[in-house]
Amino acid sequence: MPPTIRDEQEIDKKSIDLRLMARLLGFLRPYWPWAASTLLLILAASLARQAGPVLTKIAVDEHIVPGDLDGLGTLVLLFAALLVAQFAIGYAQSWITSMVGQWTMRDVRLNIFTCLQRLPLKFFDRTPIGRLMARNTSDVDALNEFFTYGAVSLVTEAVTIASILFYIFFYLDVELGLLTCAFLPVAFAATLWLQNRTFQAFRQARTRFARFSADLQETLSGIEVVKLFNCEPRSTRRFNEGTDEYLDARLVRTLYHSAYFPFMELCGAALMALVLWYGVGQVLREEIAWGVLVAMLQYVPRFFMPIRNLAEEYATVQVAMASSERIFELIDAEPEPVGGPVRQERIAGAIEFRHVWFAYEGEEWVLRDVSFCAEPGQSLALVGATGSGKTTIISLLCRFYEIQRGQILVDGIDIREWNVEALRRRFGLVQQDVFLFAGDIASNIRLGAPKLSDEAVAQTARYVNADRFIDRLPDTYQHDVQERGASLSAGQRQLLSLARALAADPDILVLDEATAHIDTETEGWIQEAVEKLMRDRTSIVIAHRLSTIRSADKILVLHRGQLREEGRHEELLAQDGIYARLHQLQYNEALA
Amino acid sequence: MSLNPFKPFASYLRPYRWALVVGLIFLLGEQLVSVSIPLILERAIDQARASLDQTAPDLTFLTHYAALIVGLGLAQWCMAFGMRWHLASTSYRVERDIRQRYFAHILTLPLGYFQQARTGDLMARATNDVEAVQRYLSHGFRMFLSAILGFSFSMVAMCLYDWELTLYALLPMPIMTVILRFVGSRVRRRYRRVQEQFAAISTCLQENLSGMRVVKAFARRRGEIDHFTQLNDEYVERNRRLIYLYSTFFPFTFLISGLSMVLILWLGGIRVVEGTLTLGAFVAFNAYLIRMSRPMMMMGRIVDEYQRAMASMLRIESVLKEQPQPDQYQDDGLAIKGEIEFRRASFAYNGQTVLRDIDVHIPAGSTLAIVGRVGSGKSTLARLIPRLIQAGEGQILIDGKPIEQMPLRAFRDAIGYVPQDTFLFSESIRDNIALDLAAEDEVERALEVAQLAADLKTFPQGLETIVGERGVTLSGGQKQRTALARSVVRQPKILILDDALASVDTRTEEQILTRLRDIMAERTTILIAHRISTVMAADHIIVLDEGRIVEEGTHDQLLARDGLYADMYRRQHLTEELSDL
Repeated sequence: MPPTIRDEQEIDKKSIDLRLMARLLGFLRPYWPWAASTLLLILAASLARQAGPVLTKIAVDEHIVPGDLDGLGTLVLLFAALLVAQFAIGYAQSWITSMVGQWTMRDVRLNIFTCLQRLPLKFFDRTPIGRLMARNTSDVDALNEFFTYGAVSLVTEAVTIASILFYIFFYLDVELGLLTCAFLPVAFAATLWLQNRTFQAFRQARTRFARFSADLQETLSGIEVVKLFNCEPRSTRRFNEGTDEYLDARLVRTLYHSAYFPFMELCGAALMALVLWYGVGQVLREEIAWGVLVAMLQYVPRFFMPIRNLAEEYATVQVAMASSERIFELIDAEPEPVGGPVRQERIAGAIEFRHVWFAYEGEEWVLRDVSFCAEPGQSLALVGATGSGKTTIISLLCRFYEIQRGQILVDGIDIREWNVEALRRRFGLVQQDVFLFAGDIASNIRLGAPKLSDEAVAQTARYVNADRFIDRLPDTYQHDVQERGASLSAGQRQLLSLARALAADPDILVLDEATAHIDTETEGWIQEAVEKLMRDRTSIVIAHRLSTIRSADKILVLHRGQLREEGRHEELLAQDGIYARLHQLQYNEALA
Repeated sequence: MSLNPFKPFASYLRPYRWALVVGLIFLLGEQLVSVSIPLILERAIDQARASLDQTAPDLTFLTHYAALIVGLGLAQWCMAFGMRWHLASTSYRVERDIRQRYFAHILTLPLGYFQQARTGDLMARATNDVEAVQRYLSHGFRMFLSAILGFSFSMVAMCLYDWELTLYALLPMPIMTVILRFVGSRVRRRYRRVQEQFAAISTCLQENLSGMRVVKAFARRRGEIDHFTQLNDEYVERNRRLIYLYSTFFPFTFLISGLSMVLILWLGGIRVVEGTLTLGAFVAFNAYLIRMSRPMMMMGRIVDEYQRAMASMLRIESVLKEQPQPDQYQDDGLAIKGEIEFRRASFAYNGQTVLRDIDVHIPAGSTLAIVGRVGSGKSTLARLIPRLIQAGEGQILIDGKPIEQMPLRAFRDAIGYVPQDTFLFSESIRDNIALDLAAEDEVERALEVAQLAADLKTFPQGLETIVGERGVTLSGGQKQRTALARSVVRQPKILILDDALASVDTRTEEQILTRLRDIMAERTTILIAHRISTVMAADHIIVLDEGRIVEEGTHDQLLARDGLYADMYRRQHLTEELSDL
């Protein structure tokens, strides 16, 4: 659930934003032949549907009133045939419309998804997932509502009104037609009046709904505080106030709706009275035939339905507008740079940081003037207290964030000149808290190398000792990883993550060792695997294991965003500086 | 559909039964009026036909009938207004009542309930589910009654003209019902498959977003897009299968009602020619037919709304049936002094022992400090005191009385608990501290203790600054100090600081502790901390490891023991040295 439902329900536009609408309709472009045929079918279906009273008129005038039953059967058959045609057209129209809606919505969802994949990590640090989920669910739903019902309904109802008027004017009687038209301004005035009166209440209802939902959510997420501080009466009072206010807004709207919708029936009754009064007179004066009157009386109740439907659909359009604005905002967000043209199948693995300065926010430097380098095949261990900038170095190397000053080079080339994805593919990243995807063990190992054969997957697992626990699982490699691997132990997840990194055959291993408690047996396997992995390639490791640090070619000691000491384990210990103390602090536990 | 479509909602409707009765009377009236309009058409047309034979027809009857129709139209409008207003407003009031009852009930549930229930789920019940009930009560229910009344009234009127013709006109209806039921069950099945696929899409998206770092690190963009595309294609495919069926609905109802019209045109036409039916009756017949087919078209939607409302009501009821946290003891006004005793208290979570045989006695007014590694059970121990969790075995006594036997509210009022993770409401800092209860000067004093005054000066709105997503983002330390002020302001007899100053820098912490000491003198205090400097002045210190007390005593005693505590103390020194480097 999004933490910001407060903002999600805002509708501030009363009228329809044409530019937004045009952009929205742009999604229809790939399907324009379908969309166009929908329009034609709507027209055809409507004409077929509204032909009934005209046929009745013919039947009345040519057969029933004169008392001549010859040919009535033919007419009835024609009517039946028209009904079947109407059914076919109606079906086709409904099918195409719904499918165009589905296709368009798929495109919108894919569009959002594709854009999301390109956004920088910085964006995700700032934006709660719930809000992004809402874009793809409730906002897309609102658009779907618009494309399959709202927009279609607007067209359909307008066409229905037009075709009824068409039949009245051309087949019945012009004067009766004008009489009918005289009611249009009344009906539309009533509709406008309704919109004016209820828009404010509609908007209020939505914001108030959002407000009490947010209150509810806050109470739920802060339930501990609510209980500890005996805030129940306070929260209840607030929630009740919120729901009472919401009720008020809804009641205002209900009041107007209660008046408006039956008013359309009153219009129908009034028109009927007029038609009766004027029409019967005309019939008696032999100006029009009986059939015209009968047909007219059938049209009257059909005439006002579309108008009230229009009023109902208008709200859908307003909601869709607000939703599309939020969706476009997301689509328009600035993507992360794709990087330069450099892409190589294999890299040697030289890494260099040159006077790198970095801050996540403004001038709060997380790294200050950090410089170091690793020759191809070398292993670097990063050590330092929490918050010293170790993880940041890894993130920068993978180009998750853009540095403010300095340069990072891989194989002597600035990483900004590398194609981002090509570069990342050469890294094998092992995270501290391993994120596993839904699916089986094998598919998780294949994450960076989707085409890997079963044989190779097993081989990779064997290499990092992951086979030792996988073989014990009920379905081995087909074992389902549920709830992000909750059923696996921290150690097992790490082994899996090592296999996953190795599967893509990376040139540079980027490892953030886990601090979680791991049983001795698994710990041994991990240690062995890490040492093997480090031996074969350039590696940069945030080390928590003494064994890892000892086998590193170079240890970098970070302190408050600065690189303070550098060298091998024994040298650094001899210096009796930061490393010596860190060592005592963090790695003594293993000895104790 | 159960016989009484109101039954599941009866208890909520009872307060509004009179509005409901009035609404129903209006509904009946409206239907009666609207059924009478075609009768007038018939009279008018037949009288006009009759007057054709006269040489100088008197047409004033037309004006009368027209006026009558307008009059009936007005009456119908008024009644429909009364009906809609009473029924709809009742439904909204019921919606509010359900929501408020739900909310009030949730607040009585024990904390454990919220750990196993998902927030999103609880939210959905209060929003979507309550709305589904409202929609049925206002719309579905009204449509249901209108449909039944409209249908039967029209049928009676038609039978009065010609029961045989009525039978013919109704002939297509059973066919429609059968086919719609047949299609309906299939549609529901396919709809369920669509929903399942939608859930798959959501899951994929959620996973992608939460694993974005991995997605990027493994350059999985294309793969993820392909996967998402596949899921969406399957979704469209399942929708297509649904739409094949679904698209028949609307045209089909038109077809059936059209067939009735055709039959009437044909058979009715013959009858008019034969003279057994007047032209006016023919017109009226047609008018009734239109009135009958409309409710038939709505039937599918009504049943759908009813089923949804029922399912939603069940979901809401399932929460309302949850047992509240027991709190049967009356507040007897007994002042709590603050003596705490743990007697062989244990606590297990999901089968894992977190605390084992804890025996501690904390005299009123003294300070107990708890230290230990992450996961050693410190917080669990602290959370047992305000009954956030329930000890499995053993007892916890306050002033010699088991805590389960204390009136919950009065008991919690006496405890100030500052948790590790600070939760602040999206309100002003003042509201967050005072929580509507504390007076102005008390807030000022609490600000002083928590060292917040200086921070507030940097905010333009000071105490009125709104915190949270819509306002100012406070730093971790500021949040913790606000939470501290919130507890201090209520002058609790027992103050528990659960690692509550971890994000506050050492110097500020010292100042806070100095000021707290004045307050602590009269209060029982439980301090959980990582910094030895925080705990060394405590009257008694316990060291927890793997859920047990492994060492206890004063600071000096523990140092002399040269065990875990002494080790921690030395490390602390190293850390301090480090930070000075």
